[in-house]
Amino acid sequence: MAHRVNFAFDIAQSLVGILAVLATTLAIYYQTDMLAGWSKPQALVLVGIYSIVAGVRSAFIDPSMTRMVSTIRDGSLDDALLQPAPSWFTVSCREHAPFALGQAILGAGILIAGVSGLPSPPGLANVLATIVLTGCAVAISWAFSLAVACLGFWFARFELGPLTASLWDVGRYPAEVYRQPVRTIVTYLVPLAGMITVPASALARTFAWYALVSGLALTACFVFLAMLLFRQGVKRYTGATS
Amino acid sequence: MIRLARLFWLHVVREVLSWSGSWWFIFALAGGQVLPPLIGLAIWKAVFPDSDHISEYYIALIFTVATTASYENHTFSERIYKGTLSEDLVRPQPPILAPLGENTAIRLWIAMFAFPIVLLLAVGTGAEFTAANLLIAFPIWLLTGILRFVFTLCLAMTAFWTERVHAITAFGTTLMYLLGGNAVPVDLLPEGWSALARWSPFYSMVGLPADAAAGISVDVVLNGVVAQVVWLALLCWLGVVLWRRGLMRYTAVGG
Repeated sequence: MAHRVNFAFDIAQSLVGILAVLATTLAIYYQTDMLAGWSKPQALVLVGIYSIVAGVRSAFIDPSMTRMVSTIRDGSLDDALLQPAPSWFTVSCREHAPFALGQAILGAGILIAGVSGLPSPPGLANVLATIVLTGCAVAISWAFSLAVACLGFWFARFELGPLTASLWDVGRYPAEVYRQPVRTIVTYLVPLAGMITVPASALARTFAWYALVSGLALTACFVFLAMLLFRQGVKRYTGATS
Repeated sequence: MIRLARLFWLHVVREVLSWSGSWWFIFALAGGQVLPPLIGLAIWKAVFPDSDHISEYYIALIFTVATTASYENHTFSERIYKGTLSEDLVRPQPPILAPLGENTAIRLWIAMFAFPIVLLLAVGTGAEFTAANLLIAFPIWLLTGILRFVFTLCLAMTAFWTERVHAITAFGTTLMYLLGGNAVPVDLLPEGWSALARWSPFYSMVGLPADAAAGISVDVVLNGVVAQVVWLALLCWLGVVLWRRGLMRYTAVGG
């Protein structure tokens, strides 16, 4: 019985957050037809992509990163480092919370509802670009989470969980909502909004090849920097088990 | 009464000093409280770019949520799970003093980080608050702080029955976010939802002091204060019931 209750809690918890995002978006469009140039169906596409990325992140990235910080602190990271697999993989991808995928499933439903409301259906190129850019968003989420977790190698007592949990909320809305220079920062430098807005734009608005290329390039940069930070951090690490 | 006040003050001082070593975590907590209304400010200024009321409301809201933040689901419920609540039970003082003191200390620290942000926003947006509105908002803000503490403490006390206190608190926090005036100012909600939100405890815990500081009609303020007092009485009663029943279930190992 306890496990069934826990199961129900996990499912409900994964859905409540996304329902709150959807409710907020609908409330905004109760007051206006356009938000920063985005119509309601376009905004639903964005919310759908945000939910899919949030669900994948909560299911496959966050559990490992949370554990990584505590294992750096107590010196028990050795177990992951000694595995016969790349350390970045064993450290950052070893724990999962599959129930959080409920967010991604709900997000897919919201995405389909948004696409069905668009004045013209997206073409094959738009869909393919969106899939690639959504994958880039997941990769950037992983790289950003890994970089934040790696701060623990230098500042063992650092715990930024409550801040980073709220930072992801920046991507709930189109990047155009934010004024300059915040818009540039959240689109290109710390692309919390850009990584959701760009794939949503590719599907629901206009698709430009340069957006796809620059998205891939930015993803490669972030992944490279995160891996570099991880390697430098591991060099500093001393375990407590030897 | 004086003895209780002194004990409470000693708890606050102790916890302020205790948390002073975790300034980085306080920074993260402050950021977590300030970011959602900051995002709300950006959104609603995009919808109503010429509205000064939106800026004033959200600046007051940032101050409110930062100075009334409650984390009893982490502090108090962990004492239940670890069995260290026993220490509070054997002390010759009301057990509520410890969580209340810790709550006040955390709020003081978060306010220290949040206040410069509030000041910057006020200067940057040119927001103007009248002294009359701030005077009206002050007692409402005090009641908000007490109400939010009692509400979170009630949620934290579910730790006597379940391991999922964080999930339960997350539901409460989400409702506070949606119906409290953080995601959407309550008067911008669809009509039925707006009325529901105004009479819910969540608006009393979040948006009401911000609305009062930004300037709203006397009717709304009076109705809001009545709702605050009623919800505070109800939640205090619920808290006492949960505490008594929870203690009957509570067991700890060790000494």
